[in-house]
Amino acid sequence: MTDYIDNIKTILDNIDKIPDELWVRRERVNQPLDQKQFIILHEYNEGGYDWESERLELTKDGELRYAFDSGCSCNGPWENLSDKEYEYKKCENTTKKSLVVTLDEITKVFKERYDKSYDDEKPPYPWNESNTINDLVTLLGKPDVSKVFGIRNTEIRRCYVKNIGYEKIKKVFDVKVIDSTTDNNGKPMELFDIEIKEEIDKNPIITIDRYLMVVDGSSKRQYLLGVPNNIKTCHFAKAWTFDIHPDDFNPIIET
Amino acid sequence: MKQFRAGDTYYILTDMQELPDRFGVGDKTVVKGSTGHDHTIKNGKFFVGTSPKSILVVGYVKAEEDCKLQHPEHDDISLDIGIWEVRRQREIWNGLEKIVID
Repeated sequence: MTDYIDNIKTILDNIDKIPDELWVRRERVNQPLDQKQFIILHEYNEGGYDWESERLELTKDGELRYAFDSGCSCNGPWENLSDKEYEYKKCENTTKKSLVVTLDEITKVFKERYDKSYDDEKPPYPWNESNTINDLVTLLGKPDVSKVFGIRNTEIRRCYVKNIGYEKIKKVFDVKVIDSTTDNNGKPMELFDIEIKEEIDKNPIITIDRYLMVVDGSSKRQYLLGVPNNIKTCHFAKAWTFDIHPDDFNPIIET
Repeated sequence: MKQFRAGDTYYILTDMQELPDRFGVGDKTVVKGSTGHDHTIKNGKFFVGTSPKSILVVGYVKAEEDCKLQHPEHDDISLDIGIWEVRRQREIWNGLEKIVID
């Protein structure tokens, strides 16, 4: 938990460095947010319901909001923001505002839930392994090309790639290009392998991962998506990401 | 098979005439990106639902006349009248398949 709180402090201290495109105003179903409210973080874990959501929201003004909710398939984790009443709201679409909290309050709430998770002999809640928050802390730190493929959140990974430069990443990793072409909109695509060398218990481990580079049709942003190693072409790889047979994959428009 | 991609979602025009009642009441919002990049529907509705065809199917859009898919960062896309299947995108990260999260 200490790491988590330290990470939140790091984010708050570097709030001005968060790229603009990660701050997007969100208007939820049943819960329009005012113009100042931006949300960038939320997390999921698995429980007795179809979904559980543990969220920490951050506004551009450096305001923290905490919310916890869960439910079944008749609603979605994005629809509600309730605090501690989730047991009674699991099948309803409610209009609940999240709580504006201080870092001290966040620490207290998280500690209570963390302790309870052990009391109940449940695994720890995911804030210890919060990928999104870890990813954001990585993005706000000193650029390190070796960390690119450890970033789970696709959008944060994209920002990291942009900061370093795609060509530099290719050079540092000495990537092996498998296929390169353009999509139906003329945007470039590239399929490549990277070799990652690690050492676990003094044993050298070499992993080869295959990635597809695609460019968003509207925003022109460049994304790197992991794909199976047996895929040989960009077209096949892109079709795979949507679970469509490559022979049937023919998008007339891509935005 | 008419189809298009909007960011990390994919739309395929189906030959379905109606949707099962169990898919519930339609909504204007299709996919709610975690960073707020919501896909919304004008002149149509989104119904949460699954398909045996793929685990990536998250629901269906019932498009009416002059139906448009809107997104804060993508151009509008016009949808023909009918029922469109909606899929999320997946990738492999750390050796496991996961939904693309933005």
